[in-house]
Amino acid sequence: MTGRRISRANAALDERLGSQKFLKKALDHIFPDNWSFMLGEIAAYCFLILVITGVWLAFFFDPSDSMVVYHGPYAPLHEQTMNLAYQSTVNLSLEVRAGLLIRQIHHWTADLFVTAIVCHLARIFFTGAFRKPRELNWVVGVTLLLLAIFNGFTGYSLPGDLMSGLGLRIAYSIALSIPWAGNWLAYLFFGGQFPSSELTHRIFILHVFVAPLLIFGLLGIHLALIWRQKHTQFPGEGRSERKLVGSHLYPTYAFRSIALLLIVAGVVSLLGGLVQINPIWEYGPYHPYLASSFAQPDWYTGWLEGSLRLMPPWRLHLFGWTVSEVFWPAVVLPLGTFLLLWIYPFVERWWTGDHLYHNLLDRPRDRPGRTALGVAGLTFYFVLTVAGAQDVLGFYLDIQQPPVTFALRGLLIGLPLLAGAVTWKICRDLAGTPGVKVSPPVESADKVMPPPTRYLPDRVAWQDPETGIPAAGSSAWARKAATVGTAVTLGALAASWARRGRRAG
Amino acid sequence: MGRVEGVALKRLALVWLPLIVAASMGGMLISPSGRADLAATRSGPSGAVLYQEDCAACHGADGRGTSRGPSLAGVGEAAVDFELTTGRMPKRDVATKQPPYGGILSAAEIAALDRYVTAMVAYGGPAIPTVDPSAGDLSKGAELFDEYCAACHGWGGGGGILYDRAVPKVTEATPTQVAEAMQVGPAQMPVFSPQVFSPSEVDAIAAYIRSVQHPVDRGGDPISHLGPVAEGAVVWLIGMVLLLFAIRWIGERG
Amino acid sequence: MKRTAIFLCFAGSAVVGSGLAVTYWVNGDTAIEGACLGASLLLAAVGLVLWSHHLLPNGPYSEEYPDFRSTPVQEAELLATVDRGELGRRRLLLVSLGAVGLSVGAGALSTLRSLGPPPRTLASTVWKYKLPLVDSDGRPIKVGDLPVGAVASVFPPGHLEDPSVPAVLIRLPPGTNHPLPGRETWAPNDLICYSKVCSHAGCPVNLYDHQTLALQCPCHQSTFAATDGAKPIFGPAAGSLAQLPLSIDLDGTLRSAGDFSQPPGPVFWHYDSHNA
Repeated sequence: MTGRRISRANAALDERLGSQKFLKKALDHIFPDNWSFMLGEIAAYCFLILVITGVWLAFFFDPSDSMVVYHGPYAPLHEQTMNLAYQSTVNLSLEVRAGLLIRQIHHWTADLFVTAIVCHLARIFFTGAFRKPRELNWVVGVTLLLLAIFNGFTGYSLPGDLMSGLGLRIAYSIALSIPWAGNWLAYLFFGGQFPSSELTHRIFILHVFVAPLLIFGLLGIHLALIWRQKHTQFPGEGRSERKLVGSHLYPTYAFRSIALLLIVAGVVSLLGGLVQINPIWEYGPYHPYLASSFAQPDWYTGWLEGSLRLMPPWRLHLFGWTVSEVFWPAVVLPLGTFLLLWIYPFVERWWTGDHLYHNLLDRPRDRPGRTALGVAGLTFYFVLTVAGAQDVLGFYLDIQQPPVTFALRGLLIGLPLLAGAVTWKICRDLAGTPGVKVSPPVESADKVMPPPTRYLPDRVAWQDPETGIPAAGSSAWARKAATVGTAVTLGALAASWARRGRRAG
Repeated sequence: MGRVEGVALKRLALVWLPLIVAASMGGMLISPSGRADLAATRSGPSGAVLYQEDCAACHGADGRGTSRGPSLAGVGEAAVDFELTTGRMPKRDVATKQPPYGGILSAAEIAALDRYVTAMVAYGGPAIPTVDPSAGDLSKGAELFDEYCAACHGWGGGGGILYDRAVPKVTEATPTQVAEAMQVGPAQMPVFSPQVFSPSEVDAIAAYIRSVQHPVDRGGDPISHLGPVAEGAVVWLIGMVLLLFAIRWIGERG
Repeated sequence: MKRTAIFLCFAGSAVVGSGLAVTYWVNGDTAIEGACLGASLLLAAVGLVLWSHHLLPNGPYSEEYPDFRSTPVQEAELLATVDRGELGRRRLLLVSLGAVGLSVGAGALSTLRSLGPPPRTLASTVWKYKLPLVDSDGRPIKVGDLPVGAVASVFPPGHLEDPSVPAVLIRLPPGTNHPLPGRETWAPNDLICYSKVCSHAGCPVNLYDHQTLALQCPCHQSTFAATDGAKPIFGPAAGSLAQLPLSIDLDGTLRSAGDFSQPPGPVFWHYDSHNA
């Protein structure tokens, strides 16, 4: 029995807002229980932690490019010239109590934020949760990924240390390389020729105001869509395209969700206290004439770093105009990536001819084509990310740079093909295991719309209605991909070994 | 494709292919090392005897070089001392790995060889410099290191990469070795001449290098000072893995 | 039994959590603060999960997925509502309103130009005839300062923080330089000077290998041959580094003999017109 206080509070609220019905419906809302459905929540809670720690940090950080002389306690920086942004960050890290803890929690959470989004995106992709009616939510989600990466980049570029300054210089060159409007766009975003006196302030506004506002708004839309359309679920006992099975929002799901928030906060607190991240006082302040070896960006921009390193030096001269060699790996590749991600649900819908509603998820093995494509894509970006650390790789493996670069270029083309083909084959082999029998998806139930003439599009690998075993698909593409992939991968590795040469003594 | 064929292909993909890939990568790593234990061949700190035993075979009996080793004429006592105290010399094999920063010969043997080689052929080059890191301005050293050294040796002296070789760490170098290296320009390292770098600036750089042996890692475990590469690995392999275990546990039914 | 376990989790979490406040007030040790905070949160989370698994109703509960397609009657009602505005008949008015949007929008967008200075030429730098080459402390470099294989990082006086001017001065071994046509006098006494700004993405090219006589950029490993006009020999860079012509004073001071051979650093759309 609920206590008198709760009844009285409920009555007070209901008299003013008429909230009784809404609250009942809300607290009864069903959420399905699979563990993989919580990946997105991890990301959302990371955002919450970022906002809280970020506000705290913003009280100490001075986003100014004005130069000052350091007079703090850290001896190697004594009397060095640096900008106020760097000085305030060093001060926050080394002199403000709990400053370093909060700063490190903030940075670890930022890395984890993008990690969780990528895992969540992979889950959505491989289970086909982006299909009708959830295509819009996919588009919103991909935009959130872009904003998260962008905000991470602006965030770690704020302190004005040696590493992040190099990253900004490269970003400026990338902006310059855009045809026709490049140098104007670069001046616009950077506030003048690099490094302008406006730069840190501008990045600060983007990082603290513009991007978080957009993320917050889009996250709201993202959650509202899930609320309205209800969460997808895996096929199983008692479940169907019409019936969602799970636990109520209150009390079960709420407790678990809060527990997840505490776990995420706990993990990043442990990391923030025990594992050092971005020790900017050791890097030193940025000056335009300084550089360092092993200068990598945070992991989620590593794929761009890798593409810049692996791209051959192809510069175009067209009728007196120049297209820089950084344009293709650093502008075309990321734009193309996000464009392909955005349109994917619509491309798959066109390719499979499947315009039906789907509230039930696929097992990845039941969609070998999509799963293979996804694994190939992930492998491609994984190789690019590894290539971003090609100098670290060469150092620790004791291999010269030219063979490492050559091998990675080959792996970039060959490994995704190989991985995709292998994945396809594994899915087909596992397809022998019968799934839970699923009734065909419905266009819309018992409404006045005329039923479609055929339920099952031809190109969809659907289940046999009797056994639940997915239908077979063609293996020709997989074979071609396997052959090309193996040949290119092994060929590149062999050629790199042949060219590795002997090191100078 | 039948099931048997399919299983064979899966085994090929999941077992043999990774093994082949791993083996070829491993093959690239093999570089024969073979620094024989030269201590067993020494016979007391006589410079001439040490030279004949450990150096003459490659550098020539008169120190003016052979096809296997360069001439030592005019390189200076600093160069001889640097190569010996860091353990780069004497060596038996052309393709040896990054030096261990400890001399192979004893200090007395090195001193004897220094004198002998300098007197014989190496005179005219830089003498062993005197360095006093305690007198060096630490922050000036940090600035100079970042400007001149960090691109090759890393912001924390942890090493770097050149087109065709790794650049060694400097965290284990003694102040004398630092100053010698700057003057001599060993292997691919350029010369940082005393006319451009005054003795106080050399002291400063040596002071900074000494300080990075005990970096201020206030934030916790420094994960090899590798920067975002190591941080990314921690986020995925520790952070995300922990969270995956957590959500698998939460997702169970009671 | 379960309740005891959950209670112990929360109690433990409270105790460990107090360690955060205590450490903060005592000495602010980052590691202990983080460990206390993290452990406390994790213990509380464990308690909550145990609570949800064992003390709360787990279902299974079910509800229906919503149907989204409305009936043709409902659809017709909405379309009739939208049609009340009769906008389909007002084409001329809508077009003229669109013109307002375009013109005001163009004006509003133009104000973005104020966010940045007008694009000035990227072609020239501060380097010009007869500026002495100085190091980062402002000390002029003299011809005798660099033995064979030595390098120095040079700037024009008073422009240390200007990103387009840093240059690297190298003493090449005699006879190794192959000057490009027209640059035969640019490297007196085997002293040669190149822009440090990488032609790929602008990082400083601070590595020099004096055995292979190559300059290398640490960002993406572009490598340039210092003996051949700093042309790229490996890596993603497609263009040479800009070269600075040198002259030597009577007293041995090194001076520039003009601006760089081409705009230093990475290229852009209008690069060729700046590089005439």
